[in-house]
Amino acid sequence: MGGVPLFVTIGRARPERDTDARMAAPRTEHRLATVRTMGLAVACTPLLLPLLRSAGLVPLLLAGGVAVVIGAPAAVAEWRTRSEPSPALSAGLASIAEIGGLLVVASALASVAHSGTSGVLLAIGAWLAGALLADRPAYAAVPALAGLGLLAVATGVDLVQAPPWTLLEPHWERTSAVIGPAASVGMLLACAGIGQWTLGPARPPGERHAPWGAVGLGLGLATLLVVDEAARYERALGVGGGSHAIDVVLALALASATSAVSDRGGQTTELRRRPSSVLARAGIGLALSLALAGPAWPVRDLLLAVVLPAVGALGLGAAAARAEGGDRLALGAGAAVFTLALVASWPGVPGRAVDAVIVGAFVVAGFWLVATRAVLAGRQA
Amino acid sequence: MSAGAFGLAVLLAEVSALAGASVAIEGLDEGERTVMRGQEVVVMVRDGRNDLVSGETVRVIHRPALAGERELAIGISDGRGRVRWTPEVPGVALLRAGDGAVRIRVEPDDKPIGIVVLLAITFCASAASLVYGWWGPRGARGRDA
Repeated sequence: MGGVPLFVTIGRARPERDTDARMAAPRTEHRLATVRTMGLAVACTPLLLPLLRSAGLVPLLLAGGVAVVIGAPAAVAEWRTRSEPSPALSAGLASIAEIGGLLVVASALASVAHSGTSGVLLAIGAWLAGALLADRPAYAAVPALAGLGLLAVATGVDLVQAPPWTLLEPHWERTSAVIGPAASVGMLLACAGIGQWTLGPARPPGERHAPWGAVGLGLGLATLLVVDEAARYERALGVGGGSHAIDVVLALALASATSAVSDRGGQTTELRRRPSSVLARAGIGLALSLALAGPAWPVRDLLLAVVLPAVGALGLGAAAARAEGGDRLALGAGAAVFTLALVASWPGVPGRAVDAVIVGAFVVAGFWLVATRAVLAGRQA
Repeated sequence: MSAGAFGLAVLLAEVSALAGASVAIEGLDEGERTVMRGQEVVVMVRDGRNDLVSGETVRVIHRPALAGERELAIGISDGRGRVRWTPEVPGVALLRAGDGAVRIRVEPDDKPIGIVVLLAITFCASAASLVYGWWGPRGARGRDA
């Protein structure tokens, strides 16, 4: 089934659905895995901040529109289409989705770590918290909610001190410059291709609305972040860097995201028997965060502009091949948006040799991870 | 000293004086940087010796390094080193004369309703999506929803 073009599969029999081991997980585990997937939506919101200077409020509006119209329906369809065509292909696609989730969270924490020594300590703390809370998903939501609450208060205070009109002024004539990254963020707000809908427990009957919750949380946080960034810009008259207080808030909010990445697939009952796996995954995430904050900072935008849309397009395209009817339409539209976002925001090849080496190392490591898991899964089948 | 060398020395003196030039708005306290849109202000140009400079072109860059950046010449300083200017574009701006520059904020006379409406729409969409996602109607168990 893998790799068959969409037009050939029209009229195929309904794919079989998972009904065995993953459905046996308790309902609370499904709900908590959903909460942690929402943490991934939180992690992609800082990607909108650099776009403010290019077009004002336009990127946020574009991302919100894409998330509501295409992202959430595609994520719902993805969670509804969970048959596995082959163990090797399934393991490969899952690994690709994990790379996307890891890159989103690591990039968000890299922006925190890039601000200085305190930022590095915050990033380390966030990954440690994620590792400790991986098998305690109920507690992972606590720092995240605290971070969101603090952000709401900070935004209110900043608004009183300086109205944020300069940075928020929409410039629709710059839409073509920001539509690629904004569309990509819009799809990621629904965690299409990277969240529980791809990796976690199968959807329980009746639980079809959770991706909308991810969109709501991510879009609300993105709006708060954008308004706060604009207010701080206005207060500083455009001079100076970001506030460390926001770094603290972001690190707290991302604790649930690091927890989600440390816990592959949301199978918490398995985690209690494999703490080394959790620590290893959190360690890799921390290393990637520090690398993106340090030597790989110049290629961070390139990786985000290329890898994330590619991951999403592959995942949703593969799911579309297994789906039918309206689900196939939604998944196909989602894959098309990711592909167009990749084309629109293509940054070109790196200009410096060291940047090219870093990108090459990332590609090789990702390929090794995906291929190894696919081969091992195929052998075990 | 030859005429050419003297002229070069004068030019260098002027450049070095303007190198420490500063721009300020008359009537604003130290640290204050907000002016009102549509209300005329007086821009003062001083050199490195804190003397008022005449004949210097004063420029304003609205929204520096942002989308919609615009640079305009607002006038040439008079004999008392002053230029009258009525800001028309709200937002952060950069006043520049020679090497001197100062950032100011032009306060709009009315809140930009368009931005407020767009933010309100975004907030409402996020709230509605969150409520629907968490508390939306559930399909019957066992039925494909």
